[in-house]
Amino acid sequence: MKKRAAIYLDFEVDKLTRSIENIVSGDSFQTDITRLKFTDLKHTSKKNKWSFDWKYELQQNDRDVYKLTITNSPEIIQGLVSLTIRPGHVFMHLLESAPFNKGKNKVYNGVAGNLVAFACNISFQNGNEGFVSFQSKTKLITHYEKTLGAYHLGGNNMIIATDAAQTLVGKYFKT
Amino acid sequence: MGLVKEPDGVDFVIHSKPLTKADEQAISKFISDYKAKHKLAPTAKKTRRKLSSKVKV
Repeated sequence: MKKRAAIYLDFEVDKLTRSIENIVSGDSFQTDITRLKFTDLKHTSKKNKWSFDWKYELQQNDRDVYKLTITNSPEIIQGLVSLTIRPGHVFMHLLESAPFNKGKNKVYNGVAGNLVAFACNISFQNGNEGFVSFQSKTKLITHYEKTLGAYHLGGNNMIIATDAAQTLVGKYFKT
Repeated sequence: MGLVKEPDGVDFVIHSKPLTKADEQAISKFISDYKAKHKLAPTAKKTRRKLSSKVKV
């Protein structure tokens, strides 16, 4: 069997909002996070400029893949995250904003932060006290420390602990 | 936490590195250390003051 390469996360956390925000108009839009379905994969292929192999993620039994969409606009995927609930923490395998939410001409702010907050929420719901770990590209470690309050564990390993997780969840999820 | 400018010129290149046993151990150690450090201080035990029914004068 061909050995798959591990992947560092390099999602950009742009703005922490309760929703996502249109960069041009400044309007905020409420969002929903639901499970990615196989029928969604036609929108998330590399042909459509997504960077990761989301079909592979969806095929893994140990992973849960979620999509972020704007409420009342469920057909347009704004971002994706792949998670595993491990003993003690949630591990983020992949997180990616939609191609139109990357780079200088991106449409919406807040997609990555929204999905990370969701991972923290899953962690709390599963009794893991908000702990979420992931691997970061070296150049983004400081970025994640500042924006997410994540700790750098050495190497490329990062973790979001309870305090920062509570802050993120508080910003995105109404209780 | 608030508005954060995105770093310019970030490319979405994928690198490879498997999560090693050492990585997993580092994560577990961090979590246990964090929990120990942030453990809530035990609250003082509340004692109910007993009122003496009769006070001798």
